Amino acid sequence: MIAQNAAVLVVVLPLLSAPLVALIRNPAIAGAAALVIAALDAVLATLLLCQTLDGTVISYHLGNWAPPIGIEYRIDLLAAAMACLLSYAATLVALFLPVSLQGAVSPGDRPRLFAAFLLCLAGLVGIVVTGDIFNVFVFLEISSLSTYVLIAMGAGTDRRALTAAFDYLILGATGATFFVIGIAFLYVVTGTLNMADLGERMATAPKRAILVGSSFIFVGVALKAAMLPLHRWMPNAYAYAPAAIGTFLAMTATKVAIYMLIRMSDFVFDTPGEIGRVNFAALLPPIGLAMLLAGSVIAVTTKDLRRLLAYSSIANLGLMLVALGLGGVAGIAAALVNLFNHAIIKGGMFATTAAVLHRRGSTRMEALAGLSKDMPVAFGLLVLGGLALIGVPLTAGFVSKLVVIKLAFDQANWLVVGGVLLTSLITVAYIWRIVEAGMLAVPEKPRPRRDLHPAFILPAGLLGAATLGLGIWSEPMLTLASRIAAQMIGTAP
Amino acid sequence: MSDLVGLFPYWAVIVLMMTGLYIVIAQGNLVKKLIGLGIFQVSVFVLYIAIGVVDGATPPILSPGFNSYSNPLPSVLILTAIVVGVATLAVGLALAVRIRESFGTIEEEDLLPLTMPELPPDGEARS
Repeated sequence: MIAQNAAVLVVVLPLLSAPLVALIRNPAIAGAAALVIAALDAVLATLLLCQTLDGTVISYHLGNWAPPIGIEYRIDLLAAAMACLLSYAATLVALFLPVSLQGAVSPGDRPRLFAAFLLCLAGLVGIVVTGDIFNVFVFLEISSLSTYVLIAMGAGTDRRALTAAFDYLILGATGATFFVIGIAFLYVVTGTLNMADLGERMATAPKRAILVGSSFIFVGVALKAAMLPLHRWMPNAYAYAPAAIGTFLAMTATKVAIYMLIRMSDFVFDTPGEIGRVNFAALLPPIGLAMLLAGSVIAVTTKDLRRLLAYSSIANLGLMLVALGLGGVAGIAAALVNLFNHAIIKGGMFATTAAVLHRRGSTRMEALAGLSKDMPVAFGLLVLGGLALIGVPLTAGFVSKLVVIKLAFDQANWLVVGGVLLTSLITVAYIWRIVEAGMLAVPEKPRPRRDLHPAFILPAGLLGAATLGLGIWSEPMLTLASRIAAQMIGTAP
Repeated sequence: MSDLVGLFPYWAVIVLMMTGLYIVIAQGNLVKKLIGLGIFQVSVFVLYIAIGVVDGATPPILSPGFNSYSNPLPSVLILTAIVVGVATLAVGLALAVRIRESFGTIEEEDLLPLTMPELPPDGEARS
């Protein structure tokens, strides 16, 4: 019963429990409830992954209306793997969310924050499981609206969270509206909203309308993926949101945008060479390379650890886009390896940063002085994540960079090879700044040794262990990614 | 001439869309930005309703004697988008109120120096 309906329960559970959590008065109980719901959602997502691992595609018809008329939830390996990433990220973040809100958000507001957190999870999971493009828009808005609220909740520690949330709202709403305009164009010429159906009917549809519609959709998704030059909302959002929320967003929000690009590759990226259509895949390597370089260079100049990590995320998103732009099964697989590994690496670093913020009250570089003495575990985890970002062997980051470079090498795309290697050098520079600030800078007065609050140990430790583990045993991740990519290309016409 | 009249809803959509987008970009006042966003979104509502119309057809209500109906689906879709638009506007205005309380202004040029990343954190009252 639950196994059969897991496809819809994975969305319905957090969606319906969110208002109930908002009604709980006691913040501790509400926090525990959010954790339980996120964990249950992870169980459901795991169930879906088990069912789809052998290549089965689950097609769930809402209200028993057959697609393409009815709304279909379509779960292939990619959707199941993404749902797992999202729900496990939510579970890990929910473990330390209540602790990291102490002193940052008033107790009365916390239950509502937990509710918004669950809504955000429901929206993101909805985007990955649905097979209906208008549903994607609705879930996109559910996740976006709750994200604006979550970011604004950071106003307790820094009032700039309010303007960060407002800027994101204006950009996000404009982007989502672009997305709906695109859907309108595609609907007019194909008469369907089901994505699988849409991909098929696209071949015979008038080309100009498809071009316009795809362009609108591309811009809308590009905004959510923080693609240069539409990245402006992201550093502020990550730096001023409550630290735990920043962790969740870094692990999920932009990753879902990359997922949308892959899912809509039927009509967003087209087969090259046809007159009157833009091959968006060709746009990705230049944009990606620009993001790689710009993100890394700006990260070197930042004065705040969370802002540094945010710009580093822009660089890593660039790497995913480059991989995606290289095309084919291998390109999608490389992008997916990067997507999952980066979520783990950056999640670990953001979670550790949240622990530092909890102890120090600030994540500015000068506040990190003496970190290696009084928070050695946290410092170690930050350095481990940093090494992974650089791409040092035996870390997940090495595998990520290796697959991209190998692919570019095979295609003799020296620009990409050079760009990725150059960025690794710049990454050394900004990771060194963390080491310098945490180990070499002399603190004003020595602090007693107080390492991570216990609540942070499990999530930050697990993500750190996964960073190492996926670097040493990279095989399962690589196999999963190439199987997903093969299924995507196989089903796409 | 027939394009001008026959495609009138689409001309209206283009004008509204560009007006809205221009206001979002050009206006420094946060509330005016939200108004621009509203106009931009309304243009999409009109676009959707316009594409559902079938020439010479009646509204999609079953009744004897009529057998050509307009497409109800775009109208239904846009009902959802209207709700989303209202929710966005509500969150946006709530944020504008909080920004006014916190910074004392909702003009972008006055906010800019107050929100520089270099400034030290300045939280609202903690509890």
